[in-house]
Amino acid sequence: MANYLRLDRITKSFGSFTAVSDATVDIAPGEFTTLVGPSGCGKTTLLNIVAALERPSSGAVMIDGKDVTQLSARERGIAMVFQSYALYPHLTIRQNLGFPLRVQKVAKPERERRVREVAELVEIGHLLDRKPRELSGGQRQRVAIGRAIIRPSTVCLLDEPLSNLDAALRVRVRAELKLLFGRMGTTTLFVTHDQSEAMTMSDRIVVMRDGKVQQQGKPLELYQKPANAFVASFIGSPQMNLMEARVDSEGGRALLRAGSLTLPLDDGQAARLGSRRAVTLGIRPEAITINRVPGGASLAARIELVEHLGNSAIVHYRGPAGDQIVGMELLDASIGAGWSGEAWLDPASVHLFDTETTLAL
Amino acid sequence: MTDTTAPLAAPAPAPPVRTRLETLALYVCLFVLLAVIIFPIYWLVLNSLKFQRDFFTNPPVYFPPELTLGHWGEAMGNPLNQRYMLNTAVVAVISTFTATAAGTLCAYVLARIRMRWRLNGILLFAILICRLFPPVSLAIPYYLLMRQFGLLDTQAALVIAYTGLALPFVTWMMLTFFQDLPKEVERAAMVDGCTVVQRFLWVVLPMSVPAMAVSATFVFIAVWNELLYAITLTTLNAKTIPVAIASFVGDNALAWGPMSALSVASFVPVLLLALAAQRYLIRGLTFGAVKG
Repeated sequence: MANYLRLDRITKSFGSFTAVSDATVDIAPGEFTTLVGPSGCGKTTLLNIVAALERPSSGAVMIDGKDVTQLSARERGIAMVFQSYALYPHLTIRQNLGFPLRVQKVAKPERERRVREVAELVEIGHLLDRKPRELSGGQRQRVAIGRAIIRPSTVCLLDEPLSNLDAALRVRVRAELKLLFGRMGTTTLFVTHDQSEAMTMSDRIVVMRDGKVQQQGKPLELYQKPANAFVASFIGSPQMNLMEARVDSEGGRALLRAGSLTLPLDDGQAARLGSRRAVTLGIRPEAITINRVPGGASLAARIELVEHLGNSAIVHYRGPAGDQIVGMELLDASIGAGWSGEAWLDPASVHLFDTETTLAL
Repeated sequence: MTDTTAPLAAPAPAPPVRTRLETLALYVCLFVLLAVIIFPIYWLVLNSLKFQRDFFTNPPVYFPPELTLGHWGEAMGNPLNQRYMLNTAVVAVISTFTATAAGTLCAYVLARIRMRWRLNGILLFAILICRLFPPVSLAIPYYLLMRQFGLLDTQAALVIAYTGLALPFVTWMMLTFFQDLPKEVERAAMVDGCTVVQRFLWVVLPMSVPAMAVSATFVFIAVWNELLYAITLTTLNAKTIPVAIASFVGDNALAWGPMSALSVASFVPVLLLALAAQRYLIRGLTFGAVKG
C-alpha cells in the first residue's frame, strides 16, 4: 500500500548556512514527485532529511500522518537510490540485491526468490554473480534500483540516479523508471537538477531555489502558470525570455516597451499591472515565430543563429536596439542566420512578473 | 624513364646517443642500488652456510667452494631458540591482531563521529604524541609498569607494549583510509536498515580488509624485529628472536655461523608475509594520496 508523505515546515541549517528554509511539501500516496532546482538549492538535503540521513533543525517529517522525524532510517522503512548508486563493492550483484532482505532476516530461499524476481524486473538476471566493478554505469543503476524495490518501502527516494548515464541511455531509462514506479504504485520522491527529467517523469514537481520551495504543482501547471520569474526561467527548454519592460500608454491603451519590442496589452493584463511603471516581461520561445500571428505584435529583428533540432529549430534574434530574444520554429524551416524581417508573437501568451518581488502578476 | 621503384621505408632512426647514455647510467645506478640492498642479505645467507675457517680469510671468500648446514643444525636444533621463535610468533601475531583491531575501531569512530569541543582533533593529537618520543624514553616507564604488575619476562608484557606502540600508527593509517571511503555506501547500508554494528561488520569491515592488511603487515614486521623493548622487558622465558640473535655477541667471541642461520630463519616468515601482502602494500603506501 502506498503511503502519504508530508514534509512540514522543514528547516535545516549547517552553522550559519541555511540549506533548507521552511519547506512544506505534500506527496500523495503513489505519487511520483520531483524536487528540482539548480545545484546547491537544498533538494538533496531535503531528500536526506526524508531518508533520516540528516536531522532537520526544525519541522517534521510525517508518513501517513505519523511524525517520524526522530526515527532512524531503519525504522522509517524507506528505500533510496543514490546518485553514485552506492553498491557494496565487496558483494556480488545477487548479494547486493538481497542485502536489505538479509538485514531484515528474511529466510534464504525467500530471499533468493525475491532476488530472481527483481533481477528479471530490472533486466539484470544474467549479471547476478558479478561484482559491481564489472558492470557498466547503466547496469549498476539497475542494480541500485533493484536493491531499492526489493522490499516493500513506505517511500522510495531517488537522488539524481540518471546523472551518471549518457544522454541516449538517460532518455530510455527515465521512461522505464516512470513505467516501473507507476506499475508498483510506490510513493516516490525524485531529485534532479534537470528540468526536462522533472517535466517528463513527474506527477508533481517541487521547484526549489536557495533552500526555499518556489512552487509546487503538476508539470504543465508550472510551465503555463509559473509563480515567479525563477520558476518561469527554470522550467522549459529553451528558457523563457525575460526582459525588463516599461509600462506606457498610447491612445488610452496600455503598452509594454522592452528594447525593440512594443507590446499592446489587453484590459485584463493592464489591470494586473496596477500602478506599476516597470515589470519583467516573460515570453516563451515557442510564442515567437517568423510566421504572421493574426492580431499579434511584431518585432523587427535579424536572425543571428539557428539551432536546428530536426523537428524544430531554436532561433536567436537580435532587435535593432541590440536586444537578444530566443524564438522557436516548431517545424524546422529552412531559415538561416542573416535573415531580417519581422518576428511575431501573440500578446496574450506573455507572462508578467513584478520587477522587485519577481512574483507573477 | 620513370622510376617505378617504391620508395624504401626510411630506417628507424638510431636512438640518440644521449638517450643510450642515460639508459646505461640508469642501469648502473639500479645495479649499484640493488647491490647495496642485496649484498648484506647474500652475505648473511653465505655466513650461515660457510665453514668456520672461511669467516676471517683475507681477502674474503665471496663464493666458497664448500658449504655446510652445520650452523643451521646448531641454531635451529637448540630448543631454546625454538622457544624464542615461538615467543616471537605469539607476541607478533597477538600484538598485530589487537593493534589492528583496536586501531581500526578507533579510526572509524574518529572518522565518522564528530565530537564536541573539537575532541576529534585533540584525541588524534593525543594518540600521535606518544609516537613523538624516542622509543627508548618510554622503555623505562614500560619496564617499571610491567614490574609493578608482575609481568616482567612474560609474553603479555611484550604484547601490551607493542600494542600500545603500534596503535597510533594503525589509527592514523586507517583514519586516512576511512576519510577517503565513500560515505554513500554506508548511507546506503543505513537506509537498507543496518544498525551501526551491522553497518560496520557487514559493509565497512569487508571494504577495509586491504587497508587493514597493509597496517597489519607493517605492525607485524616492526614487532617481529623489535629489539629494544624485548631486551628491556624479558630476561629468559619471553625472550624473542632479535634478543636471541643479539645474545650471540659475547665478550670474547661472536658465533657468526649460528647467528647468521638464526637471522636468516627469522627473516623468512617476514619475507613470506611481505610477499603475500605486496599488492596491498603498494596501494597502502599511497593511502589518502588520491581520492578513489
